[in-house]
Amino acid sequence: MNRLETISILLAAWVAVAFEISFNGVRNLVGAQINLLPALMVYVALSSSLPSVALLAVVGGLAEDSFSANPLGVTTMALAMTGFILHHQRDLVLRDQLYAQVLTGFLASSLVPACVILALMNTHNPVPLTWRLLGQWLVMAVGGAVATPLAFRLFALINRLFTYQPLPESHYRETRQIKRNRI
Amino acid sequence: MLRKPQYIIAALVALVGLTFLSLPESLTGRVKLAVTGLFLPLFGLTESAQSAVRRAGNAVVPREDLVRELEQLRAEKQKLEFTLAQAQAAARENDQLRKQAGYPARAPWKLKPARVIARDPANWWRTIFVDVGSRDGVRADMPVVTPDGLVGRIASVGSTRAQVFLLGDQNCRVAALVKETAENGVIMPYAADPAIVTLTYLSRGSPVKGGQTIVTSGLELKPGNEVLTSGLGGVFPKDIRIGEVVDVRSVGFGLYQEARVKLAVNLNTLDQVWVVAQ
Repeated sequence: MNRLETISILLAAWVAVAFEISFNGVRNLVGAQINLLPALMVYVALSSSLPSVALLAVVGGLAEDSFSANPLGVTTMALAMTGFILHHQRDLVLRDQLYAQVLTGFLASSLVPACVILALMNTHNPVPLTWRLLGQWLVMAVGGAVATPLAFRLFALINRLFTYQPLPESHYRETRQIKRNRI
Repeated sequence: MLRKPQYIIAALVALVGLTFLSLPESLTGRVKLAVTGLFLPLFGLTESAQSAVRRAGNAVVPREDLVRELEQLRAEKQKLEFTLAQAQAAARENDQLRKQAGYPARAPWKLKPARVIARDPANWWRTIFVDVGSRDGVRADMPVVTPDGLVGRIASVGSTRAQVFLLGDQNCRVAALVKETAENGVIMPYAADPAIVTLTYLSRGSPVKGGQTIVTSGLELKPGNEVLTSGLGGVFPKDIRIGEVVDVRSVGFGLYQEARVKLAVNLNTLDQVWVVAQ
């Protein structure tokens, strides 16, 4: 985990939570706010190390729970679980393929809220399971599926802009140099 | 399989999560408010962006429209001054009558304006954050209103921010009464629609003999009846508008009635609210 990676993950988590708390366009349009942290977690789990997964789970989860009536730490646990599962199975996922990104984004974005709701069922203030909640869950899953390829493209751009790119190898070989001499 | 360092990281994250989950509620409230401090630049940025948009909008409004609006506002102001004079006279009369009857005088509301700075990212809760806190004299359980009606109550307070439980959230239950029938009930969440709440534990009014109906107030609940805060419970002052009855049904095997109430305030478009410091 290098410094740029850490900074960009923290910054992306901050932006994701900032979007969720201040942008209400999607909420007003479809009646549910989409969650961007699972999409981010998919990218981090498939492309980065386990400390990065842990960092995103702790920081993103705490930030999200702080603006919510959720018990503090519940989103951290859900994100961490999703991230660890994806990271463990990362060799089986074709992470460069668009359909794989969309599918893992859909699964992660449905798993995280499901885990949170399941955890809230065991508190003194359980969430009522209604058709409306099911619809919101679906919106979150679809929103996450759309956001995941965007996260991959964003981080690819950041990596291209801020990391050292090795120059393409030259075709020139000293051993194959044709030396022309006077005959 | 997971290797040893991976076990350690997973255990550490689980430990952090469980530690936060097991903290006492007062402490988690403080931690939450501290973490929201990291988003202060965002709130500042949002405010600056909004004021910039407002300024840009003001710059393009034609002078004719402004003058016309000014004239309308002047006329409205004069009308409101008459209404205010009448209301002040009525309030004076009310004070005198209360004094004669030996009732304690009603304390006037102290209203603090507040701006909505954030919304709950979780879809299953209904809370907002406002930009006033303990520094402005805001305390937990203070009611939050708009000119249209009740919004909710203050849940937790930081120095410059406060979290508000909105009407329809599971943590915001309000003692309410129907204005026309004086029936008392409790406002509870209605899960299927965020613009509607349930007014429950209303007296049943079911027939005991053919054609006879027991209704405590002598009136029946009807759609369109106005629902206000009852002042019972001590959190919300009396007579703040909540909404109006949509329909009524008998529940609990006919033990009591329940009414669906359409909220007077559109909670999705909240921008400016008022905290009532009683």
